[in-house]
Amino acid sequence: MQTIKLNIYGMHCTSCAFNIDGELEDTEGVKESKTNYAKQQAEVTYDSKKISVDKIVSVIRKLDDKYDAEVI
Amino acid sequence: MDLITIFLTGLFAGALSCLAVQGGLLATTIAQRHELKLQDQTKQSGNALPILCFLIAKLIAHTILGLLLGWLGSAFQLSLTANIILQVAVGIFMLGTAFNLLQVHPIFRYFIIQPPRFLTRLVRKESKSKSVFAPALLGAFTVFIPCGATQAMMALAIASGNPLSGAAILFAFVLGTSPLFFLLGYLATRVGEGMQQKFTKVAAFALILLAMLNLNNAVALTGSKVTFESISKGFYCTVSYCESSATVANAATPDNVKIRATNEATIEFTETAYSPNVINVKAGENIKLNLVNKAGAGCVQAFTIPELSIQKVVRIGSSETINFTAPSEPTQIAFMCSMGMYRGTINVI
Repeated sequence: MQTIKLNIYGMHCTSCAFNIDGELEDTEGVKESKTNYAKQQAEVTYDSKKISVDKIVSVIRKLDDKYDAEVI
Repeated sequence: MDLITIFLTGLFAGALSCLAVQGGLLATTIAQRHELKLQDQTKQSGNALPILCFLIAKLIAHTILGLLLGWLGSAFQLSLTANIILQVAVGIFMLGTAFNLLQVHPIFRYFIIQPPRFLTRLVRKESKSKSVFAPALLGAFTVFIPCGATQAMMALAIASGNPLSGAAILFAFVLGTSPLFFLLGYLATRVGEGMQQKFTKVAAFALILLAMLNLNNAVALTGSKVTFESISKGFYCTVSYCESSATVANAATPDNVKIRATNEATIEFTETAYSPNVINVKAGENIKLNLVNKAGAGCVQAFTIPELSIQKVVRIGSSETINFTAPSEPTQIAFMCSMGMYRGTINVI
């Protein structure tokens, strides 16, 4: 298991954080996602054998056109 | 504040500011419904059912919260200082929320309460079960992300000092917020981005206005005479003729024989006021005030004279008496409810 921190752009309320966490945790290979609205950051724990960082970023982008993410 | 005023506060300021904070949860409800519809094209029910479940659950959850807060308020009377701190805190919180909506600075994001994770997980799990339970759970969930106006109402529920009054206050308020929530939820697909941005701005300014009122009440509670009302009144009386200010000025003059000063007075509490709200007493004497609460259910019950550190809770339908010694010099002393909302003046002559 690996943990990465991401900067998330485009979140305008706490529900966005709620949706991003839900979507990521529903994705195969992601164990846990903790998105903080105030910090505009997400901490994602994932299995690198099952999912890549690029894929994680694309899941977030796909959720809403306004969202973007980059690894810190 | 009577229940109709509370309902109207919910209808206008509450709905706008709460939708800005909690609207995301409602959107989630609808989004899930759309997903389900795509999966099952044969079912063509509208958005109404999940939104109604959301709103009803929200109403029930807040009513229970009101009950608990009212009970909390009855268990121990908040001190004057605690009340001032509460009012200032709520005011600052509302300003923070408004500035976040207006995207003034990223720091204001910290004013937005993020629901605890175990709850978001639970909702996520439930929403997969495709039942009406999911929108209901999301609705109930809004209790954990109170918006600015809700916090002010929560403070009011505590101040009511009665579980039933507390429940009634939050019920009336959330009921007031419901029509706009329903309408915008129902039309959600048709409300474009531009509309939403305009909407956010209106909500932010409504919040700023409410915050100012709250801070003004807090200032009044400290016993300060410099409130919005006194400033605007002073301004008005400077540029125009003002009979009441003349009377008040005269009242403070010991030579004035027209105004009768007493050392015993009765103040009746109505739903939204103290009557009379101006009394004249003699300087340096022992004053007896009979407080008769006829219809005041909310914070009117907690009669407060900040300058003299007097606070007496008179429950609806009961009477109390307070005694104090009037200052030896002619002056004006403000009295008010525990929230600083309903006010009056004691003229010491």
